Amino acid sequence: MMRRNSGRTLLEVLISMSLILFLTGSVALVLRLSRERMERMETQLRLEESGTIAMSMLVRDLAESRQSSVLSVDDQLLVFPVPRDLAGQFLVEPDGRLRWSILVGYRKYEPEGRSYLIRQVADIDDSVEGPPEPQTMSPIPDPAYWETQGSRTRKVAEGFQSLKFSNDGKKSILELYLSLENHNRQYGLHLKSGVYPRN
Amino acid sequence: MGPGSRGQQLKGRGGFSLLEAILGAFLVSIAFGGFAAAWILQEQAMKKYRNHNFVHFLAQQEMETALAQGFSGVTWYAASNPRTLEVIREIDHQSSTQTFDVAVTILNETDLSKDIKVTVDNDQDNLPPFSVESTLFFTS
Repeated sequence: MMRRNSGRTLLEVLISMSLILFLTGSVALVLRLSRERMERMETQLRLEESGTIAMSMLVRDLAESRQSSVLSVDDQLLVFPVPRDLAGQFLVEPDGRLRWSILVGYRKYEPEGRSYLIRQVADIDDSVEGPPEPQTMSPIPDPAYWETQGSRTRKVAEGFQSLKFSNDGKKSILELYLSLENHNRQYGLHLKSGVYPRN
Repeated sequence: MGPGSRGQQLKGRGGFSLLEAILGAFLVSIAFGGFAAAWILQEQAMKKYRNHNFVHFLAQQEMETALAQGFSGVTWYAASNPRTLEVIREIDHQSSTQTFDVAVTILNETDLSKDIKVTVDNDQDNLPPFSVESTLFFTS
């Protein structure tokens, strides 16, 4: 009786084991791919959100400035005057002229190896007449000056790499490049838009 | 060999017929095909969702920017549009480019209020243009 119920053959056991291994491997692979995809999507969305907010802020600030007064240094620093005060109040003289009271600077900030785009604001010397030219701005938009500026600083975007500003007739072109690394993968976002400094 | 020998046992068990084997292979291929199709569809849905999400976010940000121009400034801002935003996404130095047309229009204008509409048009995915509307009131 026992000899008749001899169970499975070695071949059958081996085939079933390899099938189980194959299925387990497939499930593990699918899970790993799904996790990678989720991380990829998460990092991309984070970059896109960060980049869009930064572009909006830049467009908003630059729209109030003057094209000839914008100074770009090595694609790492962008400085321009804005006719507002530190409290954000739009300043117009009684005769209708704008009063250029602050300088806005966008630059790279790297605490602990992480790279951010930050926005800083500084007072302009009140003696400046009319819309200031880059060379006559006070304080002079020297990168070293902005390095030491600690007040009124705001982080705008993470993963900052470069910020290009160029003029194309009345329109200016703004290019922002952000990049992040996650699990040994490099993610980049390049945003390019037209800006119209109107004052 | 006796009647209970191993050779006779194997001979007595016929295994799977050709029809069963073909049916089994067919079922397995359907399962794999279904899985692959679901994977591709999910990939497309995620991409569509990402673009959809980006378009909504962009429209909201543009509306914020337009409202920040103030009651008189928004007219000038609308006149300087539409603008094109070029987006290049990179993963491990492989890039894909997409462009979005952003337009700000003033629908109704009175001395005390302006109805503003922001429309974002996407060059891919056959998505209809997305728009948001808001009203800006005059404040002295």
